[in-house]
Amino acid sequence: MIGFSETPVHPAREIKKLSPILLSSSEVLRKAKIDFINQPQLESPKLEAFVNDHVRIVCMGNTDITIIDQEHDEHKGRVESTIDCLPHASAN
Amino acid sequence: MSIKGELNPLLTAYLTHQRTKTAVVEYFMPELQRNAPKTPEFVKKNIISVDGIIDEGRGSMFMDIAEIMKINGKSVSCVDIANKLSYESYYALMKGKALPAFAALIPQIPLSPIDRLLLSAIMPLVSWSGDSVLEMLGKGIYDKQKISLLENLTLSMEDGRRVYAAAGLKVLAQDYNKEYPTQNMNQQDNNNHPQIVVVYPRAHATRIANYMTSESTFTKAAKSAKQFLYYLPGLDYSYRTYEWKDMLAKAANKPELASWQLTANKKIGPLS
Repeated sequence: MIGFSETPVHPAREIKKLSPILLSSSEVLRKAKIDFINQPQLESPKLEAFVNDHVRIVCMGNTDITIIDQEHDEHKGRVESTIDCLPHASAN
Repeated sequence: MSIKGELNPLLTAYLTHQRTKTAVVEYFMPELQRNAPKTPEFVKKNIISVDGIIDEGRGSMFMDIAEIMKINGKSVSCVDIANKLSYESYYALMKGKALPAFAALIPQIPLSPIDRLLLSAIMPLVSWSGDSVLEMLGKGIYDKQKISLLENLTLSMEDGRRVYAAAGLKVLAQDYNKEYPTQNMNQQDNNNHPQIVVVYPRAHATRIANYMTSESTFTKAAKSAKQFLYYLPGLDYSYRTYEWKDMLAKAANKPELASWQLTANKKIGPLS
């Protein structure tokens, strides 16, 4: 989407344009309810609990940086792939 | 590829939501895999065992996230500096681990001269570190419940990851703002707001958010100083975005040609 840049960006210079704002938990929940209004399978108590416990939103301009904390040690998944089966990333 | 992961359905709902443009993960398997020939011990330690089997937990969670993003035609991004052996060398240096230092002295182990120097030269100086104890106890910079102001005085590579993850996310968000301009956008109209979903363990997640938004003068000053102090040679200070490309593979009917391609790589600088 965005392209490549070999020129280092000075973070402070970028940040001056848009100040990141940490949304309150009630605002995060309000956004979640709007986002998932058409997904009744996401039961409200579970959604509320998840959002309150795990979700933070940093708003920058019109972009939401939604930070979800998940402990990978608690992940129930089991992957049986080998290195050779993995898709290969290639640098352009 | 066989994936039997089971992500939290609410996490999946966030990842697949139409507003979500990219998922930022702590570790991205294809990126680590790309570095794997040069960093076997790092990859082994973090994700993949020596015979190529991906560990449960950490490895499978990020594989599952990548698979979901692929299926939904969305990208995966990384802002973490912990993606190569150079990071592991600095990490070992700061934590006072002796084994990597000995390993670096064995000529049969394939390491670059820089990695060998980093691993072997400075180990005797760092045995003072109590960082490992704090990690085990979940205290200090590993505390999942609270952030102490004293952390502003702490130097650790884990802290360096958080400082530069915060910086990388800001630049990434800045670029999404350029791509999705704000004019005619109603703050109440959630659907038009692009979303970056970031998945990290709690101790990291809280501190990344804190570095991005803290109003504390002390924290702001510490972060600025740390951006300079953590800017070390040989690490990836950037955000990297990967997209799954399979058009050629489909046209040629060769699924093996499909792959995650690096489509954006923007460098992040220190304070200047």
